[in-house]
Amino acid sequence: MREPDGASGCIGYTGVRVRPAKASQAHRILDIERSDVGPLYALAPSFTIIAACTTILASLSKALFLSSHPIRLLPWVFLGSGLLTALCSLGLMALIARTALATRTMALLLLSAVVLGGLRAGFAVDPKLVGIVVLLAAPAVSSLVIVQVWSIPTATLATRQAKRLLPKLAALTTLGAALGGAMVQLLLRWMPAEDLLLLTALMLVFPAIGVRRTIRRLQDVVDATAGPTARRLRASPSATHEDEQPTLRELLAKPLLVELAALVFLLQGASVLLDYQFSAELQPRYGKDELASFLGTFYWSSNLLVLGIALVATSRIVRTVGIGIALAASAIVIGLGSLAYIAGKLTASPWGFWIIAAAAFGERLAQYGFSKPATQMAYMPLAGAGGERAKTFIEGVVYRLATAAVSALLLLSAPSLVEQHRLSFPMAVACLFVVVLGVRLGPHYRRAVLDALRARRLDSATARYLRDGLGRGAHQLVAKQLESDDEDKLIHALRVARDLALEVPHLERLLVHADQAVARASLSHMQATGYAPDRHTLSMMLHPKRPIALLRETLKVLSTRAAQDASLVELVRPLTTHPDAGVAAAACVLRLRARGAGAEEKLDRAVATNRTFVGISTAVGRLTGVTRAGRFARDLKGVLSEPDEQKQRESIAQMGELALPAFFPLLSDCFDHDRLRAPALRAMAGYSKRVAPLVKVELARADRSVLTRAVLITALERHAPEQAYEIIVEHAADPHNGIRDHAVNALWRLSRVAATEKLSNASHPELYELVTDEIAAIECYGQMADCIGDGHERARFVRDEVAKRAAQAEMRTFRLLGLLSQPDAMHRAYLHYKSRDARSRSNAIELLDQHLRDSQLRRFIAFAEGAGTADSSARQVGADGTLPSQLDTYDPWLVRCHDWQARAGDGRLDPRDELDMLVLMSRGEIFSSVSGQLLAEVRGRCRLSEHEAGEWIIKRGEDDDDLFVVVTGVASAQRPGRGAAQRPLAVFEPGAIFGELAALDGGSRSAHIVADTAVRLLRMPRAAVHDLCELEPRLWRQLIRLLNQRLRLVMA
Amino acid sequence: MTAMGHVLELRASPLFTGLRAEDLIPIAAVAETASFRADESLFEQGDQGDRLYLVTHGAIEVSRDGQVLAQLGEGDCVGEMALLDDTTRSATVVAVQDTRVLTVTREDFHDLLDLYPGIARQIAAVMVERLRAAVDALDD
Repeated sequence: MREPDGASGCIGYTGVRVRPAKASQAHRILDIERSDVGPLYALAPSFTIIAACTTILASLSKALFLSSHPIRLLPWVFLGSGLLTALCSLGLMALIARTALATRTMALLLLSAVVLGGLRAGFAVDPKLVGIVVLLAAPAVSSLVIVQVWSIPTATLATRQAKRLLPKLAALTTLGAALGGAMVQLLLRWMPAEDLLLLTALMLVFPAIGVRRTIRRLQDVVDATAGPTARRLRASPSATHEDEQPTLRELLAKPLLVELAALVFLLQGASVLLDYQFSAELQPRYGKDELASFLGTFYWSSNLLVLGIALVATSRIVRTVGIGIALAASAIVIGLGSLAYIAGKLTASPWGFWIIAAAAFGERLAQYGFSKPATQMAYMPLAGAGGERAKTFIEGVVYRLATAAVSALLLLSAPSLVEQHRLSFPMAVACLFVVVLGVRLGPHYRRAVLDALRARRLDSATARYLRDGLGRGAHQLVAKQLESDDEDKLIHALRVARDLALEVPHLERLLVHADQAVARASLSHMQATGYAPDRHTLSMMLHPKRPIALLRETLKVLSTRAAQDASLVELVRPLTTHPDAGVAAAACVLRLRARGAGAEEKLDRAVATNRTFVGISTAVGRLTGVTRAGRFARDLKGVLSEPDEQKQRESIAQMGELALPAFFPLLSDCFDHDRLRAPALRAMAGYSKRVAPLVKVELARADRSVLTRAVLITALERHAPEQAYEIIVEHAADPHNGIRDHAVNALWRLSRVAATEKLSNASHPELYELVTDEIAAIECYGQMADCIGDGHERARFVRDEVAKRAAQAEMRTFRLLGLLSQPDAMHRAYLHYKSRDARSRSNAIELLDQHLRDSQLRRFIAFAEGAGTADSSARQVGADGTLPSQLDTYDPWLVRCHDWQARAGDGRLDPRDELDMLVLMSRGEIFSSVSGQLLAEVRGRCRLSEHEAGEWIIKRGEDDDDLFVVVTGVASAQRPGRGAAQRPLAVFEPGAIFGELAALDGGSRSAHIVADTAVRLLRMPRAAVHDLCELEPRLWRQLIRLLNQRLRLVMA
Repeated sequence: MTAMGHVLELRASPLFTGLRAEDLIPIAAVAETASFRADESLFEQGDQGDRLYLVTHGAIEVSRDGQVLAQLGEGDCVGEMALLDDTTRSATVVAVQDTRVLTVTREDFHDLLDLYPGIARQIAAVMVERLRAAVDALDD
């Protein structure tokens, strides 16, 4: 089974996936998992005993009543008992929020036992009165006890497990009912009927005693991985959040519950009418003994069938047709039966009785085999006290009121046998409604599962909506701050306005503001919003005396619209001879752009093809009329050989300002350099929409590193989101796992801001293909895990690699599924799939189950549930340890790792061997979760160093910024300013990391580190750490976690 | 409460102050508001850390083993430590007056860190700063 993410905080995986043992034949037939056996055993006695008790009570109460009262009173007593049950259910509902499940169940069972015992005692005094009371009270007792006992699995089990187990519990109930019937038959030979009351009371005491242990056993199954909060919340209902206790009105505002209540009401009404019709047809047909014999056969055969259906078919059929249709199953039978009955009556067919008998038989099968278990399943997403109250309301109140209402109707109308077929008309109509409600229930159920995973969530609006909301709120804020004289406020307001694309009044005034920073912020806003200033403002903005940096920026912004504005060319002319080469170059480029695309291409070609200074400057000079600008452009090409970092950054910024296509490969080259990456990425903004085709060319280059390709995808996502989809989706199938991750995450982020219309439409064959490939890969990884031993470190490394690959493929699968459809649901499912809370994880898989219809995609559910591949015939791996053949093409890296470990065996790790070095690197606590394939990207820059015991490894205040991983030996951090005799600040054992502060912020060393024993260390330069973070952004979380642990240690 | 309000409130916190409004949008999108009455506890020592809280209105008190450690107010963030390293709460936090907070659940927060490296980088920078300050404080 998959261990949840979290305990060790790794990125999406925490260890090797161990495939579950094969299910036994019996489990497969019953459609249950190995883990279901425990809960089933725990629940079986209670369910069987209580079902037997309710059967005994039902037959007993009727017998006691009929022995001392006339039959005509019977319907009235039924009506009264229905109302009494409804009232008691309301009382039980009030208790739900105040008491814990175990206490409540135990109290109810004991109270029922006491009531029954009391009735037995009262029978000696006034049997006639007690006969009425028993018939009034027995249905209430049975109903409450049944509702309460069914609440145990629905409140404690996780959704998926409950879906498997509820039908089995329904089967146990049928078995219990049969047992109860048999007990009545047998025991009445030795004891009077009233003594059975006492027996029932005693039988109820058994589950009452065991209920606490049963619930604890079930919770242990669910809580196996849950934290103490979950346990605390469950132990004390008052500790739950206030808003997790909705009122009945709020509960019934949920569409799922409203429709469920309506459905249960109509279904029960139709069921009672059918029962009446059946009884009415039976009465004249048979004598007393024949009737008993017929009914006996009717009930045992139907119960036997229900038992079989519930054991082997219900789960499977509910999975196929959905909960809604399963719920409506008995309505379909009643509806069809009613239509046939009407037809039979109208044609005076002699088969009327058999039609109604068949309908009643089918209705029993459908009701107990499908409708009842499906009703219980429908409550599953409403976990907690709220769900239990809703359940009690529907089953205790709505259900009984339906019975009472139909009984009252029959009493008042008292239809004769001749005209009773007319009842079939309303029955058929009610059944039609039920079927419609059942069909509609599916989406509501899906919604409820999703809601269960995001309880108390803000309305998670789409990003577009959010931006609108942001805009409305921000408008007032910006307007207020723009009136201020405070430059900081003005700049802040302009930035907010730019980020959120808000209009700024009087931008002209701000564009020529005396304060440079305000003017720059205005310019940045102008560029982002496409604002066009008037000619007067333009001439002021382009005044040669303005600060140089501002002029360059202004020219850059204006050059994008040079082609549309001929007057600009004239305004800019004086700047082409500006003393600053950058301003002059920018002015030239602007003038060039004004001539149209052809001229610009010529310039690009000139810069790209002419390698010599004279060549470029001549070409540019010829084109622009200014030789200096060409020289300037050529100077920029030397950016990476420039020793001064500040100058490098300036050159990069200028390349972005000029935004010539010839500079794009140079900027891409910068991505391989830690300190130049961010400026180069920023500079690419200058290309605006032209980024997309340029990135496409760069990504296609075979000589680009994985790191550069990853950052190019980011550049595309950031600077050209509208054109990004097609290009990124191509790379979501990249042979390199890391690039696939980057691409899929980028697609996901793009879809969240709805930047591209492409993603808002469904039906993308390319996405479908990607996701099925990922699922196939996951299955393939599962098979691969089987062929690697677990003995030595190299084998463990490969096993871990496989597990990391599988976790990454799972992440991509969830994201891609979300892109295909239902992004919100798939995202929630993904987040909770990794949850430590078993219920959340189960709901996440249920959400998948509800949304995925395609058989190819549903293979993922089987995997998610821990069953490995759905299609066992697809498993090609034998005991000989050969790899799945498709891995060669899909993941050559893993094949390489596998071959290496098989070849190298269990020998000593040799740091000169590439993969052995990766094993050493992955010993580092934060790197253990990073794919070896990504570690390999920075391997060349890491080296091993050895230190004697007592040697200083780091001295406080030093300026080096490497990160260290302890490979062997022990080192410790000493408190600054104190002797080594003091207790060390921290001790670093093999796998520990130190030096992370300087590696992250480039500052000086904060503490002394000394070797306590002889140590072997792996040194990773700062740039390599940052490159790794860029390649694997989830490494940041590991670093933050490490920093957090350190902080706790220092503060302790 | 508008989403813009969330963004501005998030920006007021030292943990997020270095982020641009646009970077805060993903956080604002998953943040929820919650209210606590005076004397009501946000969480208790030993609980599993399942969400972080950012005080937007009111004041809270942090205590460990019955000893008051700090009083915090608007813009202050609590609970992020337990969220970051998946440990239990190291202190009890109680609202000292009627308090409104923005909260982000553990799942959402981790997903934000994985999906938006800019946010993670900023939080790492804040943590580095805090750690350096804490180490320096040992000198005194």
